[in-house]
Amino acid sequence: MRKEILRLNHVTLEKNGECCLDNLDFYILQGEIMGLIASDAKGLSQLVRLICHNIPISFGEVYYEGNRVNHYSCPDFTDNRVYVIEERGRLIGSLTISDNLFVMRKGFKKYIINSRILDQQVELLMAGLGLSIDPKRRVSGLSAFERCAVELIKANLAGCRLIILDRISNFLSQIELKRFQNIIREQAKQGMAFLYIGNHHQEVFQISGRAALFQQGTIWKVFEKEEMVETAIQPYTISFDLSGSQIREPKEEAVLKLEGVHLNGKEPVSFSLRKGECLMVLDTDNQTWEPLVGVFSGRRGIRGGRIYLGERVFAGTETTDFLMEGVAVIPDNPAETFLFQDMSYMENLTFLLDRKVRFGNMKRRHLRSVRREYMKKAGSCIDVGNIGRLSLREKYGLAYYRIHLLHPKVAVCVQPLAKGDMYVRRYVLDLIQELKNSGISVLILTSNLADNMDVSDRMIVLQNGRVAAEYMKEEFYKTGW
Amino acid sequence: MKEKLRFLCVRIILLLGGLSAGFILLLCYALYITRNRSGQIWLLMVVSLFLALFFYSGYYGIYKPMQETKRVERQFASGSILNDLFKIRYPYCMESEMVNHRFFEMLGTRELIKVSIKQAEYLALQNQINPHFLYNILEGIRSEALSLGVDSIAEMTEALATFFRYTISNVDHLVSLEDELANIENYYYIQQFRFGKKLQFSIQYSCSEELDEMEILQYRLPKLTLQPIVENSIYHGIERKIGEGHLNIKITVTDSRLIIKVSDDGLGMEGGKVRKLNEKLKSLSLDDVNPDINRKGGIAIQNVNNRIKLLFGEEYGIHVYSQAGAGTDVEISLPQVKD
Repeated sequence: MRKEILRLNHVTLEKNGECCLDNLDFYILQGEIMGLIASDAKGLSQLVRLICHNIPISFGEVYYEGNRVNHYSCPDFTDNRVYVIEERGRLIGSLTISDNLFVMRKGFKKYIINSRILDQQVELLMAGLGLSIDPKRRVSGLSAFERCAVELIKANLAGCRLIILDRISNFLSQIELKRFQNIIREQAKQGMAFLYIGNHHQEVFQISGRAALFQQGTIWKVFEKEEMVETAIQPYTISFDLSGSQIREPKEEAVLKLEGVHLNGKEPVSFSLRKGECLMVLDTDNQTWEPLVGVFSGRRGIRGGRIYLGERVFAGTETTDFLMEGVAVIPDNPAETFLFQDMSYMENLTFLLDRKVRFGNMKRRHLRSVRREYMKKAGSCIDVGNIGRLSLREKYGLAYYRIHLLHPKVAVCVQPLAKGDMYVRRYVLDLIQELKNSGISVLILTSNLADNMDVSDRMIVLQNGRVAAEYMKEEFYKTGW
Repeated sequence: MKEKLRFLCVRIILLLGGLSAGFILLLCYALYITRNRSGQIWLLMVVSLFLALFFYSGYYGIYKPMQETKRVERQFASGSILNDLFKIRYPYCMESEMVNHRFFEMLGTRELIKVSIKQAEYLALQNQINPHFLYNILEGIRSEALSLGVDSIAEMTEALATFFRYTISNVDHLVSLEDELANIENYYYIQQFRFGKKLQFSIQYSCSEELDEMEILQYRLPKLTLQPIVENSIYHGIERKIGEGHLNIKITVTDSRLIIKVSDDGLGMEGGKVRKLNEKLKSLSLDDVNPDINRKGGIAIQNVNNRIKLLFGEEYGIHVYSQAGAGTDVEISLPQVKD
């Protein structure tokens, strides 16, 4: 008989008159990996908070390890022993692994710390996970995978019986994700319970024993293992099929070509991007995409090899303003890092447009023309004075329309589907398709397959910094989660 | 005294007494100051401490318990809860608790269970003329069929007679899961005469090392908990579906509960309808105690939910997951009851 670690019984949570969690009813057993497919973001942060802390709820009750810890009539604001592993780490970057695990632990009372003993303990714990990370290393220097492993040990040491894994595929590479999932499976066998939150059902299905579909603050279905098939989830999701939209076939001529480019001293990278093509570069170990973005953003040069952009050739360690040469980069999470929050929609949209106008002289008629053209695409939000009020979808639209307006030769999209719910991701695919249709070549740099496959014409898999495989659209089925 | 401290009015009186004492102290201090004897700050500190204690005990002793009581009463007024009103931790005064107690007795949980069982019986027997007459007729048909050598009719009438006997007799009893599932299998056998291969049925046990299938079958549950739900799945889900329909019952036992999930891959329900249904199912509701003569489709799911909540408490009951075109899952949560 398996123990119920967590049980939410008809939990309703209202905040400022809005229902964040609606009649939520589910349980997690000891040693179980319970999946949670987050179709949209509504109520998700409140759910995670509710599981960790016994905050006031409008109705229902919460049980943790068989005890009622929260009831709508008497919230006691206590904390449950639940650890959350998410993009924002909970370790102190300037301290070593040992210090984070032992010294920063609740109840640690020693005044004289023998770091040798602590390091030995950490090594033992690491060996238990099949890892060998130097305990003296500072947390700020750890990779995302190493940081997650350390947090997992920290959760174990803190006596947590439940760990929430909040969209870990957004920051772990494909290989790291696979490794971490293996560790999770081993931990689950030893009795640890996990709530695995993911945006993609394929990812959640392949790791979890049961999976709940979370949408609009409620659970619509709990999939048993034998129900985890595409046909079972289809009625609950929207189609990501772009076959209905207008598609422009790519031309043979290469617009961007990397020939033996050395990034970070790793293996040289070589690939080419055809005109009007959408190429997905899947970086399975997160080694290449960041230096490559650095090069195209004009922050660094290349140590070897050449970059061909049409007729022009670039080489050497000196930085190049690739935006002037026709390569625009849309960073990951553009809603936060690509837009100016205190500027209006039109100011954001037309930012850098002066480069396209003779003598940089932007006239009112230009702005009127832009407004007229993009009003059809963006809608009435184009007249918004402060973009802080826009929804995530509208912000994504603004970021991509800015690039659409600049009309570069190549648009580099960094992890375009890492953020946002199902509807936003679908919208981003439409926006990328729109870039393609306007003749812009699109280079998607990602560490996760996600739904990028639906919009890409070709995929290149990078491993240890070099091209390990190449797939055409009709061969995409060969890859998988 | 400790028992009396539960009442908010006692707490308020105590606090007001403390406040009065505080004012007297303050008055003394004022008199002390007027006599030009400065330098003795301790009295001021005592008064400050007293006031801090007053605010602390006022907040945690009166304000927060009053909020808790108000929340429960608000949920009761909105119709979300019933039993919790009688379990208020901090009643306003002894008299209000006595009123609640009297009201509880008048309402009578036992009476409610009786009403609920009566409703179950009523709905189960809405087509009955006389159960004994019905058994006799079915037995007669069976003998006639056997003598004529039509085995299929004999089997069908036997199944029908068994089904009616189980359904009509002693609805107020707890039965073993084995009996309840046997009745479902019998019901499925009867339905097969109508649906044939269109209806597929399976039972799954989530067994563990400590608990095998035979032990799971010994757990007890209210009689006719599953049949109405299976009936709903067939008539509202699978019957109108084109092609084969699958009905699956999955039984899971945790350390504290018996969870039975009845799933079908039928037509399912629209999101709004599911939300409304779950809203009704989340609490004990007396709205549907009076049987609706016009209602069709057997015993209502809400009645089963009410019976579970009345018998075992509000933390148990039914939750429905459904989507148009994807089927319906009905999850029944029960406590572990054994002989």
